[in-house]
Amino acid sequence: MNAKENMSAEELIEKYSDMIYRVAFSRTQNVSDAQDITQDVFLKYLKYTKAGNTFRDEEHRKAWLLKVAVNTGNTFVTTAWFRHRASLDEVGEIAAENKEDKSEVYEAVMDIPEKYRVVIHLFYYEELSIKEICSILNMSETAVKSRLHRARELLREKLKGAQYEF
Amino acid sequence: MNFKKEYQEAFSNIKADEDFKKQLAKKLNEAERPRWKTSYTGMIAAAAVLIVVVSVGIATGVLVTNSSQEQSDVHGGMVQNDSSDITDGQDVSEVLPTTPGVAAGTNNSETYMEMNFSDLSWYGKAENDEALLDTFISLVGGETLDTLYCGADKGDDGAVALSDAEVDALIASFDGAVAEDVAAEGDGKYYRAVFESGMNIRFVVYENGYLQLEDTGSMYKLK
Repeated sequence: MNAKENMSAEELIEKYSDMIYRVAFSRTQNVSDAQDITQDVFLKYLKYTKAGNTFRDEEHRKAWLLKVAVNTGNTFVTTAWFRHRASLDEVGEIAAENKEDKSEVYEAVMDIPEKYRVVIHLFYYEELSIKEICSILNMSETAVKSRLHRARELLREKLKGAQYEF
Repeated sequence: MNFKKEYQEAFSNIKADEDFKKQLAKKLNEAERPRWKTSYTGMIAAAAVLIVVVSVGIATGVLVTNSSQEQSDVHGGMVQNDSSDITDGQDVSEVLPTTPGVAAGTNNSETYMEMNFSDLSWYGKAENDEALLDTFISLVGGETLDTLYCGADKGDDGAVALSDAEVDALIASFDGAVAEDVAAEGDGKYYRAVFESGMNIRFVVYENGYLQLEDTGSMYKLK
């Protein structure tokens, strides 16, 4: 691969596949769908780098992959197929399966609407700044802050038994 | 308790399967290999064609020269050889068309750094949801709109093109819409605005009176 100016496909996958997979899974709550999105992101990466595009550094490459993962997830969750399946509550069932041995925090996050999960994940797991999240989600700073605030409110409600510092 | 710490612990266990990673690496390597084969095969084919063209050219040139010589011999005049107009000693590579942005040595990373992703999209300049809606209305209601399609599903199956009057009525319904931070719910009508430039903007109008712009996920409560 091109970014394999200095990295092989295996190295790239080893370094970023979990990150992309987590973003995808936090949205779809489904292993198979998360794998589809992850594969799609890497194929887009291959196409992008084959076209001669390069990244100025690893942070740049990471930001690009996260953005494409979010956009690919956006497209995926709005497909007729996904919406139809979601309406049959299959997502809920699969999510329930995945809840085994999971913490209450995991369950609480997976229980809030999908659009809030993305912001929570980027902020708390990837430790991105509000500004970086704005760039990835193509949203204004106000909108991201508002979404993060609302997500915390929802999580506080779900975790009201425990006193979490956000 | 610290939410961030708990969250990171919980999600650190969510990883892509090792078999999946191996399959993915294989797929990526395969996706790259055929391109090399194709271009290599293409180079050989191009070289073969070039050899044939040059051979034919030389043969034709010899015939023309001979013929001209014969004619000049017959008429006692001089026939000019036009072959220089075709090749004129120019390297073939100089007359091959070039592809913008794919030129050797072109590095788009500088462009990326300056423009960022948001600058490449129709919504990139809008700094908030209100400005985004204004931009959206001005585009869909503007003269550069080619066709506005509407369907019951996200895919374009069964989508129909709206008339000018229908477009105007739809755009009018967006006036005064207010941005709200809510999730999309229920059924809706899916729209795809196609512009003369080829740009597409997709949006959804839900039955519960909300407009959603798909590129940004922004939701607006319609009046």
